[in-house]
Amino acid sequence: MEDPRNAMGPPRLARLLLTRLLPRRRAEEAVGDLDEEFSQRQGRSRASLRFWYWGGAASLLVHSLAARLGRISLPRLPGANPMRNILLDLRQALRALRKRPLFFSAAVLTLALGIGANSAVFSVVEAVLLRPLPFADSDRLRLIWLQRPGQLASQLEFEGIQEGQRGFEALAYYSGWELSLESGEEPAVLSGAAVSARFFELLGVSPLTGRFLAPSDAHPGAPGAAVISHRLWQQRFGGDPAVVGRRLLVNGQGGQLEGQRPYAVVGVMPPDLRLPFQKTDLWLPIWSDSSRSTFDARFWWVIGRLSDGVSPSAAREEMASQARRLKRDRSPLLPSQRSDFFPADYGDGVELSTLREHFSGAVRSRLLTLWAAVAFVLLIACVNVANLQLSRAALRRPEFAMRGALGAGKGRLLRLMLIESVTLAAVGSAVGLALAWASLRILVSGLPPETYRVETIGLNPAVLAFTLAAAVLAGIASGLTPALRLLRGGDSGDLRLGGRDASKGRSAVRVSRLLAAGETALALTLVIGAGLMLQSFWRLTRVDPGFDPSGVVEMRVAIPSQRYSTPAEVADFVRRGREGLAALPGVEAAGAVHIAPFTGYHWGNPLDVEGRVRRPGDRRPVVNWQLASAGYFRTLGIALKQGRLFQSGDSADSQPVAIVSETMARRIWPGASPLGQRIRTRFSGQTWSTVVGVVGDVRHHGLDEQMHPEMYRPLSQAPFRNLSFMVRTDAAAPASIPALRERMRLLDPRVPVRSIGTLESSIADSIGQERLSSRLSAVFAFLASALGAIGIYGVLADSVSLRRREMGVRLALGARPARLLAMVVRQGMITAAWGVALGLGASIWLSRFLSSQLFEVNPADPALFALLSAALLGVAALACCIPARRAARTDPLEALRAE
Amino acid sequence: MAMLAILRCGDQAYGLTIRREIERQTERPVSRGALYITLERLEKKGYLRSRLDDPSPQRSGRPRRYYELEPFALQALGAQRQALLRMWEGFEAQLTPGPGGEGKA
Repeated sequence: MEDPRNAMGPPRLARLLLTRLLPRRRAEEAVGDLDEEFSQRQGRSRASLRFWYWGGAASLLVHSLAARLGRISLPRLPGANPMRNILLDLRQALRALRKRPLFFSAAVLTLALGIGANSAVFSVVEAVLLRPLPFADSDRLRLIWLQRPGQLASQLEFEGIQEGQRGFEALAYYSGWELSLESGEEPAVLSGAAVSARFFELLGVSPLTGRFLAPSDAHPGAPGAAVISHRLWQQRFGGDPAVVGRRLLVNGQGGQLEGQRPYAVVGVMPPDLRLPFQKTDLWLPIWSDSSRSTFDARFWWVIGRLSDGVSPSAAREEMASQARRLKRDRSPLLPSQRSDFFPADYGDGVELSTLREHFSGAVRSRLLTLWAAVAFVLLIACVNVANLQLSRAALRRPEFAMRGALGAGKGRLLRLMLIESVTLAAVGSAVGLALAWASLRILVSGLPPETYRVETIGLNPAVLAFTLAAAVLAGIASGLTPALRLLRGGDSGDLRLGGRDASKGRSAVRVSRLLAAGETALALTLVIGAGLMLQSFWRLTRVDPGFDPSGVVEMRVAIPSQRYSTPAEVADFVRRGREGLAALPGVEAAGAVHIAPFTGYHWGNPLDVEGRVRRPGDRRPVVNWQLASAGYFRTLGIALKQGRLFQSGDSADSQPVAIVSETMARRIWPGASPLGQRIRTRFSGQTWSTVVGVVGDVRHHGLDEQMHPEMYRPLSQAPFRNLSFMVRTDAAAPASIPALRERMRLLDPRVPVRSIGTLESSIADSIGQERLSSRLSAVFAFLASALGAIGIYGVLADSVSLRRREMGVRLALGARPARLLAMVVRQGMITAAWGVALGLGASIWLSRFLSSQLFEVNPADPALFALLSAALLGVAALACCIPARRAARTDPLEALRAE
Repeated sequence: MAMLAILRCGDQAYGLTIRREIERQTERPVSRGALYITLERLEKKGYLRSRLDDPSPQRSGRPRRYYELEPFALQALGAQRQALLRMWEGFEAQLTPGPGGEGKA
């Protein structure tokens, strides 16, 4: 403003809105007046000036809007145009709601909580479970598991089952390995995949740019061709459209991609493909045939596209018979291995799964459970609002009788009521969306990072549409009961103005008590579900993993084969790394292992025990095979039970040794000591290793898993390039991470650190899903029981105020206040007890569906059920006390006079 | 009501003063938005005419719009008043606040 006396100008945003939204002529005039008055008001506090200005602006905007709506519906020809009447009703509804701000805000808040929770959970469900997959005709794609779900196949098996099959129009196989990309100072580690010829064609996707791999790319001697992910394209090539032809120098560290090779980019994958992994960035042709020779190099996923008209079950049947044929035909080729690689039931366990099932995995059932839980919360919110409406409806009976007398049909009145409650729900959902938006980030950060499309979760149009639908349904659900009641009761007797007789009938009280009981039942069901989840989660965190993770940092490295080509060089690097890390200040112990706990991998291996003859047809026992350095057991705090640990003296030249876990000792040598026994596995070739020690069991995959037999060999005798250095620090482990990383860089900057993190966080991540679902269900249960308590409170408060006269008479006749209090509490508790009984029944039935998500918890635990029922009754009792005390404090004279 | 207020404000009748006048006489708040819409409608129906003043800095450069009644409006007001008075005939006695009616309901 030009005038220097003015300390501040009017709020800019408000002025902008006014000049934009008002008709030009009115804006000139009204804004001028508003500004003039504003300048006259200078001298008051800034906040109050702002508030005042915004109030004025709001009034102008609302009226202008209403006038515009009004112009549409001005010609009031009854029934001439349903749209006009609806607009008219909408105005009525807004006016009616504005008159009762308390009711309005209570109802809006309740619905907002319910709808907001639903929108938030739905946006996760939508991205993870519902949104179409990015493949053509994706419901015809199936992953094929030859023995059981999750069991990968070997190349020979793939060829065997592909031969002559007709159920699938195309089959392909693929697998993933870690790779490092040579680039500047430090090599970048990424996830790569090797895919068979028809992989891309079968998926039915098109490259964003360039082409996909062709069969000729896999010919020996062909120039290396690579397809890169959308993410790699963006991050490494800045989304350069001319990326095709760019060169990559790739270091493979295992499996089919061992060794260093140059590749040229031939195409870019569209986003969201996640095969084989979410993080896969590079797809290369399979060009080494080294694993062709053996049946048990089982590390390939098999995927197929169903032929037209073939049902999944028919295709599965055909695959099973293919597998049995394979076993019959190929078994003679491998007599020595037959029973290990083709167990007696081979072919019986063939399973197909859709990509959707594969991607969403275990998260699916948890999400569905949470979705059901929030649906319950919304239902409770609706019941609450319905109850609020019921008591308000009682007050509005004269108004409706008047409308009826003036010629409004019942349909019209019903519509008016429903439009009111849908309006409530619409405002509620707007607030709810804001809540959802605010809570979504927290929700997403709690999801396991490998969750499918986790980065795309958000309030997109699908979520908005869902919210809208939820709002309309919630509006109808919460408005229908009161509306119908109101209409039934509408006779001319209600016309007596003044509303003195505006009481609920006895049946109305019954309806609202029924609703409150229903609410309590829903709340109890949620509370019990959450109780089970929390108990399960608590049990899970109490499980002893067999080692002490506190203060332990895991650092994964890949030792490049160009620089460390001989086993001795690798072993030497491991020794130097271990010693270098252990020498750092604050480090208590350091060791190395080839598969650290909670990384999700294991190597199962058939075991031979010296001197033990197998009968034909016997399977060799399969044990998990681990490579560990000296110092590893001490670093993790794994207990030594018998014999000794690995020592620095165990070298390539000394006697080959092994350490076994307690479970393995018990299974393989029941009742005898394993010390001094000699064992071997396929990985150790023909050499026998002598068992020198027995250590405690370790849970390697998850806190909820069974103990597996496990054996360890020293890294010094069996060097390995992909391994983890484990370091126990006395400081807070995360603080030491930079120092450890730096130490590794000093040792050799060309050895890439693939990942570094604390063991505690890997354990925490492994139970991330459980944590999220137990926390969320606890939040929802809290919401539900709070809403349920409010519901009971509302019903009681209502009935107490209606029975004020009765209370007055009772008191006047000598009833003691304490008795009145007890009477009201009893009335409320009967409602609550009915709810609890219903809820218990529902919980016993529903909790069975939770059992797959529970760990060592009885889904029908009587103690838990009793405890939580009692707790909910306690909350209900508290809710009863407030209206009960009001009843007891009634002043008889006043109560009677008011009548 | 708005027309009467314009009359009362004389040659100083514009949005701000009209609203203040109604608020002072009726002792209740008048919604800003409703007032402008009423004024606009009355002008459209031919009861009012308006003219623009020179812009002033206090109004961030916007002109005032002064209102005046058309002669036809005065007639309409008079007719309205007569109609109201006729309707009230015989009820004046009941208007005086007395001990009977209030308090209990």
